[in-house]
Amino acid sequence: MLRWLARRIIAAALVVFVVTSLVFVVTHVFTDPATVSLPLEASEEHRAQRRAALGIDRPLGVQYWDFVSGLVVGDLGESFWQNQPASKLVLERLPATLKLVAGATAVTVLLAAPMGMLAAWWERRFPDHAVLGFSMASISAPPFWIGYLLIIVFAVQLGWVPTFGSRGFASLILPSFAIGLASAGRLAQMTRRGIVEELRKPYAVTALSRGFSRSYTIVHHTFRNVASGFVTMTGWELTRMFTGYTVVIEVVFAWPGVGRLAVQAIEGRDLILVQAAVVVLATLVVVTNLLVDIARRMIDPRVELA
Amino acid sequence: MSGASPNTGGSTERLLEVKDLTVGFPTRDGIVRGVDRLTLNVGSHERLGVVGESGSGKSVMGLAILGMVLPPGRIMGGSVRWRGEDVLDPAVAGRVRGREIAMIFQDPMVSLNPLKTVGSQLRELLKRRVGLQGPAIRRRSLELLDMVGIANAGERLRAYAYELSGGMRQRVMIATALACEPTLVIADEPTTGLDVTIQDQILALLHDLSTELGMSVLMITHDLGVVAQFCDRVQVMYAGRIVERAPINEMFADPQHPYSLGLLHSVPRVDRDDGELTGIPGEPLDRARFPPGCAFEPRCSEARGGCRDAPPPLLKTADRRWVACYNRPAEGSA
Amino acid sequence: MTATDDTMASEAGTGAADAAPPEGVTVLADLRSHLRKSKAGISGIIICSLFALVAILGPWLPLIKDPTKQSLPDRLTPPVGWGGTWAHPLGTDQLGRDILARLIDGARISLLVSVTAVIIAAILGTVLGLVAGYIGGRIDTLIVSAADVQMAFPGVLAGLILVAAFGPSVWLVIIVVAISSWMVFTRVGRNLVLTLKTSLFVEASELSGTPSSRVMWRHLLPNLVSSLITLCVLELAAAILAESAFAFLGFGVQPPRSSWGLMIQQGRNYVTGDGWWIVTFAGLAIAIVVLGVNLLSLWLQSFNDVAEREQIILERPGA
Repeated sequence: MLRWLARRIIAAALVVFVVTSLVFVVTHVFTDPATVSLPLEASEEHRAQRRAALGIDRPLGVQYWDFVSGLVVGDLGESFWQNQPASKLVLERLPATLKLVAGATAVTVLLAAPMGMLAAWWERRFPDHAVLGFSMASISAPPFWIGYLLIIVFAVQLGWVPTFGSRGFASLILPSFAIGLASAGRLAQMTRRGIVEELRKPYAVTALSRGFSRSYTIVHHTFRNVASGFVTMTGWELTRMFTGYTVVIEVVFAWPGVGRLAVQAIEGRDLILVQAAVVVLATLVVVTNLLVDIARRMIDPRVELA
Repeated sequence: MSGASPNTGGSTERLLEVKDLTVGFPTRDGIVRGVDRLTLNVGSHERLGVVGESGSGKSVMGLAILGMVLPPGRIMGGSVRWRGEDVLDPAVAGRVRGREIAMIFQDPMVSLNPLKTVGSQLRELLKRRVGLQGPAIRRRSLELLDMVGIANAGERLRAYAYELSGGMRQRVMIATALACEPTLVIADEPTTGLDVTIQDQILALLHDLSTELGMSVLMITHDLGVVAQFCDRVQVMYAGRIVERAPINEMFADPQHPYSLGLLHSVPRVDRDDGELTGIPGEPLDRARFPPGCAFEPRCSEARGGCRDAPPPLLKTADRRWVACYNRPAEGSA
Repeated sequence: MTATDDTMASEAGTGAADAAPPEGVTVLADLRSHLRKSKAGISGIIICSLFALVAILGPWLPLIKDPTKQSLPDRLTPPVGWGGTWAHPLGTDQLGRDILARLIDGARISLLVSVTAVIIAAILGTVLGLVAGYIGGRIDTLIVSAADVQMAFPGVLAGLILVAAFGPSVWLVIIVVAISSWMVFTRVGRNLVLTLKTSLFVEASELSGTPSSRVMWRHLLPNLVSSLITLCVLELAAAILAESAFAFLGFGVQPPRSSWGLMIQQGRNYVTGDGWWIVTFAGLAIAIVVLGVNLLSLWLQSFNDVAEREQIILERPGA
């Protein structure tokens, strides 16, 4: 187990390294933070000044070494838009993003598991079709639009929850649903299919033949066996959230998270800050995948030690 | 052989009565009958064997007796009565399954829940199906494992199926079947995939347990050796139909259906264990395309014109002997 | 005949097996008979064809106004049924432009970006998958690890960094959507090749000395076609959603051109007041088209029901 864990961690670190190196190639080889930060009509002199200030006049190899050694100690460069260390800015916004992802994950799991079981229990009957309808609708609608619809209905028309910003628990509800509905739609279908497949397996047939009811068998036998798939899928949904949904939804709800910071940094032509936000989000994706693998091993003792 | 066979209304009580049970599976070319107008009876303290090739519908039959069919199949007709009650009624089935009739499946590796320990699988049965509480559960679990001959039972309770040997798993499977003290055990190829010595041990165990606990056993197998060793009476199944029914000694001494003859003369092969019998000319049956007449006709050496028109009915040819073949005159007709 | 033919044999029964008549003909016939039984398939095809038609014919459709014509006196006219008139059936936006006309104009961008991106991804990904599967060895390892890294670095992140570096543009969005989907095709292509590689007929043609590239084209590619079409449809749904998200963030098409995502961005300030219809109708357009594509792909999947492909749909991270 420990050796397996060590191998997985090294592999994950390697992926982070490759991804950040790719980011560096884009931000320093194809262009550079100084060029991006200045308007097209800026004078050559002005450009040279900015380059020197950012240390971009040095050879690429030196810059790359700086970048990598900075990464190791958590130094992601200086944001010239805010005149502060980029890592500090990103880390300040990180808790808000994590809170949002946690809320969305809760919505996802709490909707998907019961819906999937219900659909499997009533296979090819009305509840099954209804859940499929929900899934198709939720994965087809763009999440930012769902966000606005939720605002129109629940914040503007009904006035139940605040519209924008992040004040207290109530303001977390709408963005969590805006993100979680699509994930729940996908996950519910996967759960349903998993359970239906499991119900045909010999061990489930054994349980039914011993007189356990269909509902008992679904909840106590098959769901446990689809749990490792469920966790993996939830992990995939988490990575979708970190990389796509949060960026858009944070913009919709003016949520002070890392995704919105990245968008603001793009508008502020601050390449260093965008780079920092992207590196942090990519690392979160890799860490999520690692945690999913560990969770799967804990649920299912048969998962190979490979 | 122990006990007189109660086929024709003997002294023992009739437990299970299956009449004209038909299970259909929709396919591209129409509905294929996995089990076709099956009739069988099991009396108390009886050990009945059902023998046939793989694909003959034996396993479908085992589940259908409990009112269970894997989708997309469904029960299309017939009745299953347990002590007079209709098992195809879900309410009755809920009571009968596990508690009155328990099944033992082949391949316990996949038939036991892979993610639950032996102990927890016994516990949920004893708690939810028997109604035991507290320490009685553990006591009874240990007793059950002891009954099926598992040493250091306390330790085994914590084991998962994949941590046990094949023979050990089948013993656990038998223990879970015995948990609710059933009156009838349906054993579907309980020894397939096990080593020969282990096979004998498992059969001996089942034999002893059925005598000790007074259980009837319906043994489903492709292996005539198992039937000879274990059963009082045997039915031969081909393409979802019963083709011959006889007391065990008479079946081996004088098989009457051409298929039974072929079965007895075929040499069991040691190198394969997939339930396929060799020695009968022709391809093993292809369920999707069996003919309108006798299903065995294409492979039968005695086939004649009339065999192709309609399936032969199962008729009584002598005392306690039934055969479905146009070439065997029924009792009193010749 | 081969492993894929087994996988193609669906519930409806694609009988493309041993006799092997002109394969395409039987598959098409089966497809048609299967479609007749599927409401999802029919509605999917209707929605998708309408979308394509509107997008292509847009400017030549009768009775449609100029999508860029502003008219401040008419600004924020509500749609018919909410106090508007048939002059602007779906109302107008904050600059008095006709929303229906802008929706039709936006369909062009959605179609252009998503279809181009998927075609690029499909070609690139499939070729890499075929090469990886067929050649194997180090090249295989390299391509597989590249796909793994891409999985950990989904398109939106790449999009953010590329937009920051090069500024917003439609072509950038196309590239970003393409690079977030190529590895799906690579994986499927590679797996199919590996399955086929061991099957008899490839071995046979290797023995008879046919050059390996010809073996690949003659035998492998036709077997890939059905799964690739299914995947393309699936990726199309993701691509339309991704395009709309980028446009919404202001990273895609720039004003005065219109796009559904951009309409939502521009209309969002009116969500809480008088002008809910801008965001509502633009989003509805996206949702309906994506739903159509999803229905189509659901039906295609039920037709060639390959569990592995389903897994890929569901498991892929990214927008």
